[in-house]
Amino acid sequence: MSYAYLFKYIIIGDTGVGKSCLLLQFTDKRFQPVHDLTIGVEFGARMITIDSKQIKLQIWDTAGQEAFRSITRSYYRGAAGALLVYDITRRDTFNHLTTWLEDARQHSNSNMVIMLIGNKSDLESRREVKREEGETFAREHGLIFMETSAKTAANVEEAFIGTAKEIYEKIQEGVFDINNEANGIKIGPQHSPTSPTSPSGGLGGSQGSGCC
Amino acid sequence: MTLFQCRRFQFFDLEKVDLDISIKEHLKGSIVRCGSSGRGRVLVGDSEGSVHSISRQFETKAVAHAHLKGLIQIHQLKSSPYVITLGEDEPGLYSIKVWDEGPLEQDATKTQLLLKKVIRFSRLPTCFAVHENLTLLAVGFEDGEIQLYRGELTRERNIRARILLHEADHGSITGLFFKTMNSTVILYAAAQNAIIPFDVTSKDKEMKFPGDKNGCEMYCSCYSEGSSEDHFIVGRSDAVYCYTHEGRGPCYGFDGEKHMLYFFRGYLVIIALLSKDTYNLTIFDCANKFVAFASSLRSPEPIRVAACEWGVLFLLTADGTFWQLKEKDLQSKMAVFYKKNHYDLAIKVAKSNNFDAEGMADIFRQYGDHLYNKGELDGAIRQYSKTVGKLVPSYVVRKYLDASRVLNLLEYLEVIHKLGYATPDLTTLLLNCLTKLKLNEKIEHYVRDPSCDFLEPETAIQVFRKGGMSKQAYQLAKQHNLYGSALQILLEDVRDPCKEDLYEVLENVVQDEKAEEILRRFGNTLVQLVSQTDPKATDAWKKIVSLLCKSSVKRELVDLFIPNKEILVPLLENISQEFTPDDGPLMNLLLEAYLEHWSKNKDTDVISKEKILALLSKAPDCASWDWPRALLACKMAEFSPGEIIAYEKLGLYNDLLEIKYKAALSDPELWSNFLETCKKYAKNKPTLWKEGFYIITIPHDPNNTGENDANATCPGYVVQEILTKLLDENLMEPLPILDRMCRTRIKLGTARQFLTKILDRKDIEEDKEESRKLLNKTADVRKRIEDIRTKPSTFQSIRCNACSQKLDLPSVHFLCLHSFHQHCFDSYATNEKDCPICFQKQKEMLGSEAAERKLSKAALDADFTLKLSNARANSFTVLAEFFSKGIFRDENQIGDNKDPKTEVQKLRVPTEQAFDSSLQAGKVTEARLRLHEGSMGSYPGESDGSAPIETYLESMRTSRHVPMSSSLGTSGSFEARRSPNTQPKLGTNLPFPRVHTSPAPPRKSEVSKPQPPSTISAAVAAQSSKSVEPKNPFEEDEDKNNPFLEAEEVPPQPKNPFEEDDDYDSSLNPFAE
Repeated sequence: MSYAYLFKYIIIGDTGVGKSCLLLQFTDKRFQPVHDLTIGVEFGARMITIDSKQIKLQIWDTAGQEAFRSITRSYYRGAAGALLVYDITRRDTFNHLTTWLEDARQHSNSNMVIMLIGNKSDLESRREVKREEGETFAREHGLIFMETSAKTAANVEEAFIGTAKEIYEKIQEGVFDINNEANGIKIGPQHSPTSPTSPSGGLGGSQGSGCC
Repeated sequence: MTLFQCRRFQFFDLEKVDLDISIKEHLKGSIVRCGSSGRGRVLVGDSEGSVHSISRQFETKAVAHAHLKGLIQIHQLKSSPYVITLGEDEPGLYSIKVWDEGPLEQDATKTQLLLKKVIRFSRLPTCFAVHENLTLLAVGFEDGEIQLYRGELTRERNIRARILLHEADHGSITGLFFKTMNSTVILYAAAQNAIIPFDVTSKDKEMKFPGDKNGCEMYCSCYSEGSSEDHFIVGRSDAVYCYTHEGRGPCYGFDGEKHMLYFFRGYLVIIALLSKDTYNLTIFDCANKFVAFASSLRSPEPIRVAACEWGVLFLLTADGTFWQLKEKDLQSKMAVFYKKNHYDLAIKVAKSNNFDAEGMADIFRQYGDHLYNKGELDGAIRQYSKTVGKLVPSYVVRKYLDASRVLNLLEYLEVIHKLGYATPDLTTLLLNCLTKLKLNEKIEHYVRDPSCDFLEPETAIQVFRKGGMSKQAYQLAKQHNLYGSALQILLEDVRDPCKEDLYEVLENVVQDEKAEEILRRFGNTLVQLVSQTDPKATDAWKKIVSLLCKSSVKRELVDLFIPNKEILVPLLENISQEFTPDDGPLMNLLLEAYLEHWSKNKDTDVISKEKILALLSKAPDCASWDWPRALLACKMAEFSPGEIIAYEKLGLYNDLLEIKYKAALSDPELWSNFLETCKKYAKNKPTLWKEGFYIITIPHDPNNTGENDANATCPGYVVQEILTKLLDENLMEPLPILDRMCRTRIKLGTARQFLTKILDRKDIEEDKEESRKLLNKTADVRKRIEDIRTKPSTFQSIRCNACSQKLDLPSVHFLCLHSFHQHCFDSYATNEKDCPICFQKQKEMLGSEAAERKLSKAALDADFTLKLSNARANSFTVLAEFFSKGIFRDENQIGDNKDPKTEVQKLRVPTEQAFDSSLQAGKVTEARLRLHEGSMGSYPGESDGSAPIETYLESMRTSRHVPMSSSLGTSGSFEARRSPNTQPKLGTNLPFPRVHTSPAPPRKSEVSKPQPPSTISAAVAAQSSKSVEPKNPFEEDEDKNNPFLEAEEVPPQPKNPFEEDDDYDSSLNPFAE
């Protein structure tokens, strides 16, 4: 499927905050109450439309466990957006945000759009982190904030699409260098007017036969 | 270090193969360097340069001596019989050799690989990769260079190498893999410090992808195929990373120093070095993300070969130690999943193994049950929802009803409906859930949204109606063009429907196929309701009716509009234009409607009158037209033209005459009309004259004397005409005529002609004479009886009546005064009791009666009817004859009487005792007496001449017991008159006690039916003066009025002339023995 841009996302946060469920809800529109722990990094993709342009979101869903930190760190690089997720019913996941944010800032490019997400908003009765606290944290660190529920799908789309919009705006503003894939943005095949100097430009020249 | 809790199973059985001795023998101390599998064998290359083939039976043999200094890599192509080896031929000299499998020898040991091509190198190549089509060969070198050869590898011709990657800081090449995706050929190269994919689709246009800056060690890369996504998999110490040509993919965190990676059938085999001689073996299911097998393996020698053949994974160490890992079957895997409640995995595995829908549904159900039992009802319903179509819905519904989880139930039911497995019950349940939850918006949504057409409309409507949501039901009904239901809703549920709605629906209904049925059901309510909501509905109705007229259901509608004439009449008129044979009642109805209209304005409404007459002339064509009803209608409305027509059609000329008479009374000029009517119809029915006579001779109302006498009286010529006809046709006896005329004001002069005619007939005198004769005869008989009773009989005859010889003793004498010689009597007599001479006569009589008795009652009736209708002039004679035959007798009595003789025998017993004589003598005497009577008795039926009979009947009439001849016009009326006769069955309550069980001999009473002469004469005398009412004599058929009951009331003995005969002693009987 052709697309105008490809944005790479990464979802980070403590284990069990619902990163994989967010991804599943966004890509498959379903919720799996029992979900395996993510070992390593998983991967999902979905097309969205912004400003009547097809945009492919390539999302890296990372393992939250401390043990995988080193593995997941290598995935920060080359992500245009990050969803930093905490669980509103677990205070400690909120407390760890600073660490995650530092990690992300350190290993990613500076322009990366980070969205703070308080997940499990459906479990209002067990809430430990107030919405205002999340808002405050986001404001302090220059993040976009949203409370979501992967279970009820509340705000899930909005979170992913909102981030995409932010990135798209930055592209329009020229903040991102779209020709540098390390930024996590890739121009779709039909949108590369001039083939980039590097051979990675695309698979445009597919000359049928493999034999000669 | 346990990183995570990835689910682990033991789906493989690890087993050390014991036959390894033979392999070790083959190796002869050399070290296993590499291996490959395919085409039914495992190939192993050793350090001595030999290639060994291991068969399924673990028979090992050397198939080639490829490289003198040992092999580095060996590759068996999967789809072609070629084997490619890389090895050291001489120190510093290396080569890639392409081998052909060669002809398969009978002797398996002789099968050898044939060398096809050699490519030589002077540097150390670390690995190579061959494309399956044998046109691409990539070779990686220790210094990091990658060479790509294009061309037929199986041909001798030399092919040129192209350097794909120059040596750089990425270290030596550790792995190369070709992958064809669509038409693109990708070469994945793994170096110690880099992963570099190339697009090598076309010659000289090879492209390098960015790849990754991290690489891997030797044997630590593989390519996964056939699972969900194809990846180039690389093992590093922290994790296993997946790559596509576009870049990095997922990664799996398996830690440990990787020793070898191998991919087979969706499983990734990861062999990590745990310690110096311990390996950690992990088999990972990439698609379903669980560890299918994990174990540690102790081996002093390094594992060199991992190969998969025959569905079994083989591991081979450098010294030839051989392990095999056999996978468990699917069923046991599933069982493990179930046992550990890993239903999600079970589902995934089942899907990847292409389970059928039934199998999947079963897993979903188990999962659902599991969640349900855990109390996760929300999750469970989601699983149950996936079973729709396979699992019986009631299974789930019951569970959730028990748990009162309406929301979950709703979810499930919606799924069922969307998938089209709904039954009316489930729809009901769904809608009930919605109503219970007050989710009216959702209901509205269902009703409105065309995409929610899963509701079966009729069921839904029903449910809505039950739930009191008539609005929704109505909407739904309209939406689905179920106008019948819509109408029903409007009528029954909506109290005051808007009339526009009503009419709209109605119009649609009328065009519906089922309009008939619908209107039949709801018509009444509909009309009521419409008249309630819209009193001026007539116009609308007319519109509807005009619509209806086109359809075939119009007849059904007639009933509805009976109260509403304005609508009814046009409708009926429409029908009347083309009526069918069944439309008679409708036509009648139309007539009634017309009449009603007409009667409002009798004098001026000419149009209605014409309409009525037109209808009356036309409607009778209809088979089911009901004349009596029409008549009644006309009569009620006093529409005399209609009445006349109806009377005519019905043949009720009497009534017709009456009307004419009435008309004539008011208008004397119409008398001729009256007479003509009489004439016209009397042709077929002469008795009409009689009716006419009765009509014109209706006695005057004494209160109404006076002024209009002239009008009230029939003109003379009419009376005369009628009287003449009566006489000519012999329709009435003169006496009743006179009697009736006496009570009218008809002038004597009018009747003069008639009277002269009667008197001219002269038979009065004859009748008198005849009756006198008979009276005398009767007196004679009585006298004789008296004589026999009181005086001794003298038998004086001197001659035998049989032989006419002189009588001598012993002789037999009969009371009939016949005497016989004993021997003559013996020879002539048929029996002892009867006089042989008299017996003949008697027998005739008895015989004829017996014959008649044999006739069935019905036959008798029929015969009677026939004869009576034929005997116009002499009906009395016929009547008398049949009277004697017992036409009025009760049937039961006849049955009892079948054999008159036995009856007589029975009846006689008490008589005999009364006689106080010896049995024999009594019998004989009695019989003889009877005989005598019989010979003398005058049978009215048999006696000739009408006069005596008439006399007799006149007497009967005076005693009010014989119907008037006038009422005997039809057999029907006769039947009617007879019926009272059959009623008094109780006891002896019979008018004609002929077969009465009185001790009196039946014969006697029968014969003595003629009343005592005094009565007759009195009757005759009374005739002229006494009025005779044409009255049904049986109307007052009470006991006291029945003259024949007297015979019963009075003790029979005095009547019996013989019973007083006490002095007739047996001793006096000369024949007594």
